[in-house]
Amino acid sequence: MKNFDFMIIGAGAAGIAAAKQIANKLPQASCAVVERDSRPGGILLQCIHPGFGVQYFKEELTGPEYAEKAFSEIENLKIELFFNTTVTAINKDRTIDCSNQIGFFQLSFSKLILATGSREVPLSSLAIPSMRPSGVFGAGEAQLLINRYAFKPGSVGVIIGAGDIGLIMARRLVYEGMKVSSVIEIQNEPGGVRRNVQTCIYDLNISLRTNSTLVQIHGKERVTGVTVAKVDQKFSPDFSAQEYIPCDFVLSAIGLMPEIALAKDAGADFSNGHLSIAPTGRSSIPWLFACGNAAKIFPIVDEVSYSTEKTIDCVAKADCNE
Amino acid sequence: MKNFDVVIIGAGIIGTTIAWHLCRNNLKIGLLEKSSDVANGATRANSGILHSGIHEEQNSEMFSMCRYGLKWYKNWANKLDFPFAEKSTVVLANNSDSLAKLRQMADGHRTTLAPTNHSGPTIRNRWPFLTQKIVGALETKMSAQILPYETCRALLENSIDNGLAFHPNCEVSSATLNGETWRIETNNIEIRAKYVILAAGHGNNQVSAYFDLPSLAQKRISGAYFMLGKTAQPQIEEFIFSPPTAHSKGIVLQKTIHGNLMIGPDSIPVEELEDEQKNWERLCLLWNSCAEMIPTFDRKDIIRTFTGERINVQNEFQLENLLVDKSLIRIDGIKSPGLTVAPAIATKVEKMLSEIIPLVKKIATIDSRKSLEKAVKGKKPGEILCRCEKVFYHQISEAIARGANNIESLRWQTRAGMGGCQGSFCRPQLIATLKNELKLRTNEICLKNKGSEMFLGDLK
Repeated sequence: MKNFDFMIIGAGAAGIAAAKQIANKLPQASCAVVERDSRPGGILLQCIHPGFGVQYFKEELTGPEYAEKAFSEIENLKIELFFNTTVTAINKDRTIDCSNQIGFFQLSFSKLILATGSREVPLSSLAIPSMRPSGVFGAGEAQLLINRYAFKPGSVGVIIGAGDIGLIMARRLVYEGMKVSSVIEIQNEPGGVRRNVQTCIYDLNISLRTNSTLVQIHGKERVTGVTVAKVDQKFSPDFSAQEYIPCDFVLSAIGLMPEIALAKDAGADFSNGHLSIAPTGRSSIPWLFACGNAAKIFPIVDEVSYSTEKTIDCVAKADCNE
Repeated sequence: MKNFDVVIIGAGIIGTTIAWHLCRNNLKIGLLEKSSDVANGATRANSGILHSGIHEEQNSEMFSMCRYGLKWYKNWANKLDFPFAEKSTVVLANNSDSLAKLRQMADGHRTTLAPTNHSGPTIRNRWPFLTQKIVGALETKMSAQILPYETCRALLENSIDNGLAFHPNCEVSSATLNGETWRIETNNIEIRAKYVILAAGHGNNQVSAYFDLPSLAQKRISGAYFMLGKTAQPQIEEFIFSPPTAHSKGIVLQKTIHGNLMIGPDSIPVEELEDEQKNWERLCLLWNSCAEMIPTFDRKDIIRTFTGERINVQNEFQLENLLVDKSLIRIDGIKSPGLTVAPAIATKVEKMLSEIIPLVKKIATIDSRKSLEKAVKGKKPGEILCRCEKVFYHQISEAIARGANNIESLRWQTRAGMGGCQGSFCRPQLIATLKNELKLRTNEICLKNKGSEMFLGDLK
């Protein structure tokens, strides 16, 4: 079994920054990165819009450009990269179970850094009445299907959630020739940054409904429309102010949560969907650390890169036998 | 044109158990299903409980059918390779009325179900998560758990090995009796059959009309469930039933065979749900009644909400009424528990037919069917597609070989997409795999049945 001083799970923005920082701080240490995709970048690869890197690289880049630039800094370093490889378990004896085309294998390590990013909160967890028709996608899922596969999800969409992902997808749909009949936001203003609200909503004349929530998805086989209601201060829907909006697809952008299933299975403490992590990045398991969106959700990728570097400084110093 | 001795309409648990029984005789059997897969109606949203019969009257036909069903599933689970787990049933009481009801239930089944009455201290000790309002509990160990979809697949696949012709996506549009043969038109093939068995669940009314049968006074009842993640607390080892009411067995809290906490159902007439507010509030009410029993449930643990439908009719279900005509058998009005009593009904149907036509048992294969899990053992797993449920490419590929041609069938056969992320990671990969392996155009990829196409096509 191959052994490494540092094992990084995930080669997105956080995993790349972690590898770079380890190589800089501890050039003698051995380090491996395990990534499920065939190339580095993670979610950045499907974020083909510009707006990344202004702080970290001092220039405005698209997601794939950011990934490429970050990865180019570690490409020639002494880091072992496992692509197309999924980690299926983290074991107590400081090994990980991996799986790829060839089969199953294990790797061992001294310190493990979880850089697994985040996942979307599924709409189905919200208890919205529906017959579960087709045409309901996560916004991130739709971003992948549109940007990487070039599939057209429908002609008229409704977006739930006016955070940055919801806003950016609204613009993306319009650019690809689809209509966005409404963006629904439960708060009294959009959660996305001001520039996105301007360019994705107002510049494109998309209707934004704040203080509103989705109360039903209509359609049996395919979505035919949604019912939306205004909410009161406690976010309870007011059915006297409900409205039916016809559409043939729905994107839900209701939030992200850290992807920490591996750490959960390994027995790490967690509360409220988050790993219990000290400011040093350490979890309740002394050799298990988390950085980037796996630790907490960041608004922009530049902050993921910066904060990961800081976390790794602590990881490098940490004594795992405490 | 296809000729059959017997045609069964509807591939839910009733249709597939009947098909399985009949295929063991020298008969040509056809099974028609209007949707794309087995168990696509009430069976799919079933809770998977094989009821002990403790909610039934002690000397009722329903009670003995429950006991028969439990024995039957237990006997066949191994040979047909579907999961079966024995589990206790616990019925709760929260006041003197429900306590009295529990005592009555216990007395009636003293000799058959060996029930135990638990009181306060035992309840606190064994189920510390239950609210203090629970003052009594009745337990019997004589119930069990299965996976309704997987069981239907097992019955179907073994029946096919024994000569069954299965026709999915086949909806009946008319039927005429020519002499002694029914000519049945469907949306894709024409069928001739001497005997027809109607097992279409809430589609039975529509199908009945084609066969000139009087319609049934069906009342459609919707039941909603919450599915919680596998780490949700508390972990529950029994079927815990809320105090019984006049209309239903109440809400059940249970851990599924796959380890998810599942809670529900409520019981609401379908027509009332046309009102958006009612439809929304029922889910809040259901959650609140669960939280009343176990206050520590966390709403954040919900990963999916779904509803199923069952049919209520006025009359009590009676096996004697199944034969409606010498060539037509209609199974209807079972109410509950349909899953548990399906084998008893199928046995009865086989017996009825044997009184009309001489049945000859043939040498049938009994253990040919392997679960998907077993079938892929030793094969190269390939890449992992669903991380939450750890589903590998070879499982997806095997499911497609077994006829899965849409996302839902893949989900139900392999569990890809049934974990915490509900498919937001694996669904695009399942879509791409389906598209490649079945050579589908983008606009032909379906979520479930025809009409549920997921994309308009490719972006230019």
